[in-house]
Amino acid sequence: MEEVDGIIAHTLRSIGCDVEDEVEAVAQFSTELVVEGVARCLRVINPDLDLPYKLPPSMSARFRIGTSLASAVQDIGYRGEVGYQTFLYSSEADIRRVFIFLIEKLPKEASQGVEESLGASALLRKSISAELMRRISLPWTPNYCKRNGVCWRGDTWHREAYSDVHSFRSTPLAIPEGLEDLTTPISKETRCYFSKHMPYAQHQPKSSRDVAASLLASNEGQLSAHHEWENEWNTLGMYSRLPVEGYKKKKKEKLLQKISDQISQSVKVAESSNKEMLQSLSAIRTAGTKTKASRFTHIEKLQFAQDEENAVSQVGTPVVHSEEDTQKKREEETEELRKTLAQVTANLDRLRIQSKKFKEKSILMEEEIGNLEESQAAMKEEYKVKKKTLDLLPNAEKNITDMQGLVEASSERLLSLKAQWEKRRQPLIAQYEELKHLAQSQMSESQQQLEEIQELRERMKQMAADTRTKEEVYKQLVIEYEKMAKDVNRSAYTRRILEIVSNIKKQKLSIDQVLLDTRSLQKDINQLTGKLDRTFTVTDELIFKDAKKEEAVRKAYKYLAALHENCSMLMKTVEDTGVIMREIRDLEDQVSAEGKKKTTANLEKISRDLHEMKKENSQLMAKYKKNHNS
Amino acid sequence: QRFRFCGGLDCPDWVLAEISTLSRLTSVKMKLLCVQVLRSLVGGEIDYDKVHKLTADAKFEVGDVKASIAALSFILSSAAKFSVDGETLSNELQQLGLPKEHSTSLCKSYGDNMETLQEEFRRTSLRLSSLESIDWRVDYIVSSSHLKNIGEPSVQLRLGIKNPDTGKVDNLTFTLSAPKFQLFLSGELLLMKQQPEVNFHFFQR
Amino acid sequence: MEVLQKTDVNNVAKVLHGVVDGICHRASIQYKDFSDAWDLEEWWCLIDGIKTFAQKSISEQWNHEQLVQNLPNLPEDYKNEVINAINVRRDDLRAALVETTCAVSHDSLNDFDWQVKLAMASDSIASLHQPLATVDFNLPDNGSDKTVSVELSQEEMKKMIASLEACNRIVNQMKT
Repeated sequence: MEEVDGIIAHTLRSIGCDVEDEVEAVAQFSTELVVEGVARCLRVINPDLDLPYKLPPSMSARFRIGTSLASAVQDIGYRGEVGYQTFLYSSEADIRRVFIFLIEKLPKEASQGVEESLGASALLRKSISAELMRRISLPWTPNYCKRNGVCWRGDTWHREAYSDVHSFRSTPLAIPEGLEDLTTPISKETRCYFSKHMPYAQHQPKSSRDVAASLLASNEGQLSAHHEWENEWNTLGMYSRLPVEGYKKKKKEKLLQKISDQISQSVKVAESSNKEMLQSLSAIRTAGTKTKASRFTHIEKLQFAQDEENAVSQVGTPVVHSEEDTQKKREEETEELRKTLAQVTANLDRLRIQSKKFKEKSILMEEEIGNLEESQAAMKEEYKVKKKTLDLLPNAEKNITDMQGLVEASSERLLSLKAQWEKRRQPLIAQYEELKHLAQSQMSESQQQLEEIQELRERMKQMAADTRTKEEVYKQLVIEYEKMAKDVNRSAYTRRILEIVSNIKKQKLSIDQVLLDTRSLQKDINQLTGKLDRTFTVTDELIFKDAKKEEAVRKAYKYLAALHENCSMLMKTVEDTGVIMREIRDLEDQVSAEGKKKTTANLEKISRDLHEMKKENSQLMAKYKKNHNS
Repeated sequence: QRFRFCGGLDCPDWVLAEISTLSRLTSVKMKLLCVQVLRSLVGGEIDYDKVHKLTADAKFEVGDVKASIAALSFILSSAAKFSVDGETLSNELQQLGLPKEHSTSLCKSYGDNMETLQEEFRRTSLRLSSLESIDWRVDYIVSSSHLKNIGEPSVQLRLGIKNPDTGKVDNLTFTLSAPKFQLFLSGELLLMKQQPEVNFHFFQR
Repeated sequence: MEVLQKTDVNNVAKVLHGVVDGICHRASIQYKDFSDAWDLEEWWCLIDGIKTFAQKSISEQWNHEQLVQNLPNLPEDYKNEVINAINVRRDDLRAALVETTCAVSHDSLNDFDWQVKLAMASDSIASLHQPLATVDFNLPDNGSDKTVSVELSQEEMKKMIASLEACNRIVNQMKT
């Protein structure tokens, strides 16, 4: 029972009733609470009903509200008895039943799922679901009520319908080009055209609807052409080491060569097998019908006119024959030309190889020259020294002593200079070392501090990130917790239900046992009574037979009869006691049930309310009379 | 009253009714029946003889067999549709009254095959048309009656478009001049870049 | 073409450029602007004459003398205007004629349009989340247009782009 009351209280709280936390049993619900709860449930089930939540003070209004609540509850389909008394003078069992019924009828709310991950696709999903929820809640407006198919929602424009959409049609646009490039001049006529006759871009498409599409298409076309050219130039063009124009021309020549080779080959193949076909076809052609223009006629023409750029006259039968001969001649010519070409190219290659060899040789030579010059300089030096010694040789001894003296003097000077240098050096070195140490220590200190700072910064970042993630997790858990706390745990209920089922099974078993025992007892009683009767009848007859003869037997018979009487009276009393005990128990149950109904309290309330109503009625009558009289 | 494998809604009454029919089978036979139903959901055929053999012990009539197959296929396909994991499905089925061994065996075979089921459903979801094949051919136009000396390439595309309802493949052929072809290609590349980045900002525009 | 003389020298250029715009599938000139100079029949003859002249001159690549030769008896200044206009618009005319040639045998693609959609769910999967692209091809069909749509998933898109890029390489080799 407590769970039922708990569910009722919880549901009432969730739909907005102001139920205090201590109120956990239906018995504790006050009349106002009951009325408020029922009215709110009815409002949720059926929003059209406009029942007030609070009971007004006047009695008649209260009575009316009670009856309207009762009728509303019955409209919904409640089978039991319900009237104004159920709400105003409530009894626990009735109220519980009504609430259970109403809560079952409450519409099921849709639970809102919460996305846990915050990845980009999940973000997208959230935004999509938010948008859809928003649109579902709005009323539907037909197409013509939306201005141009767009509407302003919040902070952005949204397109809502397809009413103003038209297909993408583009027209090729022309924009004045080449005006930024001052090096290439533009002719006067073009300039005149650009300024006077060329229409603006938005007037060039046939319909103004297509302007945007045409602009997009032409922009994209220019971009893609530019990209393609960039790609080609960066991959192939740069490697050919030719300027732009040269590269383009070379490419075109190569292409034309390839195409013409292909065409001549395929025509040779076709001709060698289909000479008669050509004759018959050309016979038809000369009949003068104007053939449908197609590129194929001209392709055929072009292969016969490879060297010339301009087109030739119409194809006729004799032309085919003679051009076979010219073609043969031309083939021979081309063969010869090819041979000479091969020769020339071979020569060219040879010469190229030679020039390379010569270049290499010249480089080697230059290296040798450099080496020789170096050795020459060294030898010059040697020669100078040797010449000086030779000059000094005549005054050999004097010069030797002079030189020795010089040498000694210079070595002494060297020594003194060294000592002086050492003297100077020491303090400077000491200073230098000091300063170095200082700088190092400073650097090491500063580095240490930098490292500490960095470490601290890292830790800070780490902690900030941690706090952020923990806050996110906390938020999500709070949301989950809220979601969870609202819904009551279904598995707990299923467990309880299973427990109750097993309890009931046990009780049933014990009841069966009891019944079995009762039945066996009853059987015993019946047996014994039957036995008793039979024994009594037998003894009775026996003694009665002898009673006529002897006095003692007559007394014994009287005593027997008295014993039988008394025993049967005893048994009757015992049975009566049992019956009365059962009646007492029933009456006790009834008393407690009636006691729960709080009839006395309700009666008091009813009598008070009746007084109130009578008073109000008399007041109204007095007022009415006063108004009527005046 | 809300069940996750029904998508947050109430379980349909007929499924509830069939749970009791399913409990009459033993759990082993139930698992074999599940296997058959899973095979049919992925596109195969149910072997009705086997099914009859399985259900003969429990003395199923024809109506019971049909109902149990229908209930199993509803449960499995609905659970795959809402991406319910085996654990939750098992709990919910037990709350509906399916005995524990049955629901564990059902959920085990479901858990093994959930991925394939979802793949199959994804594959058979609605598509308006799909591209079967694309062929191309580049021609070099030398000249024509409209204009002598053209010397431009032209592209001919053939797209094989498959209609998923009829399964027929239509061929759509058309030609494009070189600049138009490159415009088309750059448009498609732009489209390709948009696809993986279908992101937040795209929608706000 | 002699009827050109009926209007002022200054308008000749306008008329010619307008007709060339029409050949290039853009908005061309309207009769009502020149209804005072010519009546309707003359107008049609004039337009046809100018069109054939322009197409032939670009097609056969006439130089200056040939242009002068093929212009029938018009006074000098008119001839100059006509020749100037044709010279200035050579590239446009050439591009337009290349396009018409491409369209000779099969249908030629006029325009294409694309959209990207995200399929959120279907009846068999509750969270599908599959991006799909729809490409509409607009082809001419005996005077009017017909539109064919193709829906592409990501793999099909990649396949298509791979084959289109292979095609593009060949096209680049052939372009001058």
